[in-house]
Amino acid sequence: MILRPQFSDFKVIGFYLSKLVIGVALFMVLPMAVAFLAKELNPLYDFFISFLACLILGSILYIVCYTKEEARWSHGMVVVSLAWALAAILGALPLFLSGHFNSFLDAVFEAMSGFTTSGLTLAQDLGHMSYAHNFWRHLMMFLGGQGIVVIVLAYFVRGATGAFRLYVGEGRDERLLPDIRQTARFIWMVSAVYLVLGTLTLGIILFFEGMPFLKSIFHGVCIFMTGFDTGGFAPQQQNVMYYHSLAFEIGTLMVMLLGAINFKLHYVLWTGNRKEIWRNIETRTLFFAIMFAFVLVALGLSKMHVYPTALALFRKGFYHLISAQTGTGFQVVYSDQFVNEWNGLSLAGLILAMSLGGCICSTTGAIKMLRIGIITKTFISDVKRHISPALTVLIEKMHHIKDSILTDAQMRSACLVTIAYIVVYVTGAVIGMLYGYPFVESLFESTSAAANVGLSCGITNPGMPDGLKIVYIVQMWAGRLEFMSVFVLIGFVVALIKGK
Amino acid sequence: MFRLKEICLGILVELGFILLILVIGFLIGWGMLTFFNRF
Amino acid sequence: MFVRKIIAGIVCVTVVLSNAGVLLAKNDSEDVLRVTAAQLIQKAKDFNGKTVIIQGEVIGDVMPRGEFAWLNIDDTSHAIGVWAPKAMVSGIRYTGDYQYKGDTIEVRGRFFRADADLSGELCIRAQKIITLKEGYRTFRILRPAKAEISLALSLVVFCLGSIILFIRKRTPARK
Repeated sequence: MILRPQFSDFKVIGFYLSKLVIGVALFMVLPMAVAFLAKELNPLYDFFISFLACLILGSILYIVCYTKEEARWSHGMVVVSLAWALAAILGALPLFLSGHFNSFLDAVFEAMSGFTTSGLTLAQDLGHMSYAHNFWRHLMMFLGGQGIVVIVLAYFVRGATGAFRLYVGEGRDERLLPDIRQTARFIWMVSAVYLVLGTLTLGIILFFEGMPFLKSIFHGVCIFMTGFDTGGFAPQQQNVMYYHSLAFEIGTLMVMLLGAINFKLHYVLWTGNRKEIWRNIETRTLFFAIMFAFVLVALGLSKMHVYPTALALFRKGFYHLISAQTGTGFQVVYSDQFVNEWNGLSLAGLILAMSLGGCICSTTGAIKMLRIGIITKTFISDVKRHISPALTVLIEKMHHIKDSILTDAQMRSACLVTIAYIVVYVTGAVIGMLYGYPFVESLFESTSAAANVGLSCGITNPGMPDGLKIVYIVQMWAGRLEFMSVFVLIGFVVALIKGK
Repeated sequence: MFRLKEICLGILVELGFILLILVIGFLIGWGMLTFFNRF
Repeated sequence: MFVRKIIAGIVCVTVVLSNAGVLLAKNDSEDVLRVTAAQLIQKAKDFNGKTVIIQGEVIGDVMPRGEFAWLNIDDTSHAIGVWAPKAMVSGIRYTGDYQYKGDTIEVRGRFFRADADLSGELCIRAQKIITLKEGYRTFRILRPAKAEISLALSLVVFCLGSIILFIRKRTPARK
């Protein structure tokens, strides 16, 4: 029997949502400060209006839904799925007011792409966008990569139990520290340390590559935010190609890979257990996945003599492989070149990399390395079982921070989520084909959206059908939350209609 | 809980691992290109 | 007789030279193609190595690198990189951003799909740059509606904020 949600359930959900909405409002103060410093009056008012709109919505939710009840599991999942959808709508307000988007739907697409750290963009005339609006595009990625719920957990939520349920709903289940709020604050500490180091490094590189000092810092901080949070937005329409700099590309490669590492692994390495870098199942799987996918990419590109030198192959081929694997989406070739110059084998390598993703509890999307590692071990274990004597008891172990036995529940969970991702990739591809796009390109773009990568072969553009925009918005949203929160939300709605 | 020395060493280990990936990736690409240019 | 020979010689030389000039001009115009950035990117293999002419607005930054410089031009179809000697770009006064419209320039140069000497960059190696139209400061006036909406929303926030403070004061703190 399905129980219909009660008014108290709505109050809990609304109350937690109010804190998240107010959190989004507070973060809009940062681009307001940028607009003030850059003397951009219209953008200042765009953000001020959006800030006030968020405060109004948050205040109304707070007043109407005020409660002292803690969130249950179902509440946590529903709050998270709605929070992300709401953040995209609210984050779209200043973008729509900027005039750089054809419609509010395009602005919502951009905001969802930003918060989910996807990187597919519908922005027009980026070269003339204000510093404030551009900064907001990149800041959304930084906030989304950390987990907007994680942010609120760290500072706004008092109850630890409810906080943990929100944390898990956001697609993270790694407990770094005993208190979930300490975990959230640790994630922020790692990001802050690398923000300073990364911005300085990238900014200095750009300064020596001929960019004025202040602009170097601005671009450095923007690219770091979207690189470390494996988002993929860039301040200019040519993306990372704009800089024409090998040194900068190497810097961004390092930033992307840092973002793809599990925060738990950062914690372990930063507290003295440095051997974990190689013992960990995820780093090993990531290493071999990158090399295998790059063999496919390099084979395709070399066979067709697409790039003349090893350095060119590294800059274009390997760069995109890392961009795809980490789910960042930085591009150093034009979208048309993927279609016109890269052959099927290279694109297959990229699609494979995009579909697999980086480490769990990192800023990347997609299936993730821990699950791939578990599935690989499951497969090996099954083969061993078949070739071993009938009464043999086989125990499969794995090392992820500590040695543990691989349980059936873990194997089942890994397989289920993997199947869910593959179904979404293929569904998006089929819908793309229904709109008239070829198979490979449809699969490429669908995988890019659902895995929150952001590489585009040209389908994503302001002229694409609105229906496909909505499909990709939903894919980005569901992919970021690893589906469970979205399924619970659907279940909640069904319970509302059919429950007793 | 966190000592500056351990944090710095941890960061260096991470960057070293990443550099290893970049170097091996470059070598794979170089090897492929050399092979297909020759044959 | 001698004068006739000289006149004939002058006429022959003139005819030969003007034909040579026509031929050169013909070759010149046949080899140089007026293109857009979108055409170059979509048909990169066809245009690879060819001399092209492209017009566009200089956007972002002119980035000097030793004796050369990188710049990016946007012709509304796409933006593309140009690699030019530093002396050629010294005349560029404005680059496009939020507050400025950049100089509109015409670049004549050789297009490369993946320039081996520039480690694979897709770009135009400039041979000549002409500024067609100088850029300018774009003055953006604040739309009055934005100020009015801000004021109205501020009042609403003030009222709601007062209600929240009232609720929090009335509700005992959670232990």
